[in-house]
Amino acid sequence: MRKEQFIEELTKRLTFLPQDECKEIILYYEDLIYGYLEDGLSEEAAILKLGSIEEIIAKLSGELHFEVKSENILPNKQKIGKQHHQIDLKGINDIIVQSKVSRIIVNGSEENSLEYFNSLFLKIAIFKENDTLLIKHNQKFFIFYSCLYGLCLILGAALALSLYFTILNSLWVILIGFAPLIIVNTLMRILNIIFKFNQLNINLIKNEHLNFKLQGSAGDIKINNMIFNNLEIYITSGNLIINDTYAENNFFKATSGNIKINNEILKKRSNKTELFVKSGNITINNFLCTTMNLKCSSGNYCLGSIDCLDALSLSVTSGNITAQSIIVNNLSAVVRSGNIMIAYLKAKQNSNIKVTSGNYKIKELDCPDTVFIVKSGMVNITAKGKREDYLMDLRSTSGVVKVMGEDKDNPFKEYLDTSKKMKGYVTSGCIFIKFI
Amino acid sequence: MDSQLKKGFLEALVLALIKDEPAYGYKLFDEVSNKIHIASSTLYPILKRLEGQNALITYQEEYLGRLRKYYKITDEGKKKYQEYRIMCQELKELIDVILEENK
Repeated sequence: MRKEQFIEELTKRLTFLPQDECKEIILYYEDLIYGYLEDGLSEEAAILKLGSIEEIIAKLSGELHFEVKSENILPNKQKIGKQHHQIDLKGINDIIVQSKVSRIIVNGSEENSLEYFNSLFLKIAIFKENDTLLIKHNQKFFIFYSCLYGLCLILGAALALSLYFTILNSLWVILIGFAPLIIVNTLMRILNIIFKFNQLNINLIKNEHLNFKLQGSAGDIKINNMIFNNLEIYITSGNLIINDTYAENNFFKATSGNIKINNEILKKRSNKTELFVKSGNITINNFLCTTMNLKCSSGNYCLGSIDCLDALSLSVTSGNITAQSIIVNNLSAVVRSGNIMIAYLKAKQNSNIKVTSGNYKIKELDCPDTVFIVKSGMVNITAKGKREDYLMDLRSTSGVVKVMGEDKDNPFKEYLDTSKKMKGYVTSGCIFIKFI
Repeated sequence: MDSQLKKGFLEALVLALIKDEPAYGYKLFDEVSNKIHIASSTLYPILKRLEGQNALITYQEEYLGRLRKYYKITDEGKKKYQEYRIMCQELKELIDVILEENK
């Protein structure tokens, strides 16, 4: 590749960055190429030394955090009240939504538009840069509410004091002091329910090439009936509810709040799904995926029916895993303190379970290679097949190991074709294995 | 040696290389990659980060009919370099102990 070609290609691929940034990078690489040329290298050799453009782009896009800098598309002065604003998504590949306190609802629809309530305490802005659309929806409600509630408290205190020194000479007046706060709070809540002050509705046409990134601080995020290429959601406090939404790759991260996914109608298999929750529950129902990686610090998993073509990895520090039906190639689950209860587990290749303190129970297990390590707790497994099908290595340091249906008198036991393996260690607790 | 470990010292190395006189991109990259094997795309974000921390400033100068970008250390950068020096000194003592034991 020649120098000009390299620079041209790189410039083309760097369009996701602001122009200044792009120019700087080009200058940096030009300088490197000239340097190599001055050292006596040929253009081709110099470009080879720089590495492939793919590598460069991957590295730079991972390391550089850029902010889209462009003009706000929305008109500066808008009427107060409900707003409906159509957005043009021509040539847009990425949508980034940032919000502080609003509740965001993304709906699959016939048009691309935004719906929100415009008030004095709202700041909405849309920026467009190359193929990226940035929607910022920040309500100043926090400041507003703080001032309002502060005023209510002062008013309440004044009311209580004046009552105490005039009519009611009892400490019960303290309760009256809270009255303004309670009244105003209830009123604000009712108004919020009616007018949906802090709600941002995003209506989008289903688009398989669209990358959607959502960063929300407080407030719920709801996504209904959509199709994306990549879906990336970061939520600090608030719940995430996803219904009938498909994305080739999913990435969800929640600090405190629950995540609920339910794809009842849409039966489309995602490629990769990653889910991290600090404190909150994960509920997933009817989900098809190739690989899934779920991590939860404190909270429970409630899994309905999950079908994974490849690997499913579950990890939870404190909390239970309850699942109705899991069909997977490889399953690995790590639970620090909590139980695992699975009604039906089919692992085509293997399942690897680790529990530090808690029980492990499977009602119906269909897996050729099962390994479980439980530090303190009971293991209760009902496995598919007969006792003879399994090559078993079960040990318990302090506790009983009981395998039902063991045929001690079978003289051919050692010669049987045992295609399935089951390995289990329990430090303190019992193991019960049954067969169906 | 583990290049990952060395990469932790990239910022310090860049500051050390420009502490006496400003350097331009290629010279800096050449000197850094002589010490640590890195890709060209690794250095840029580090320079950018140092610039963001006000540890260095950049200016452009004409050279053989084209623009060349120079990186110059600031007072903030010099302070940072001194901090790295102290850290490295402590590390050196530790490494000396390890090497001594292996003899």
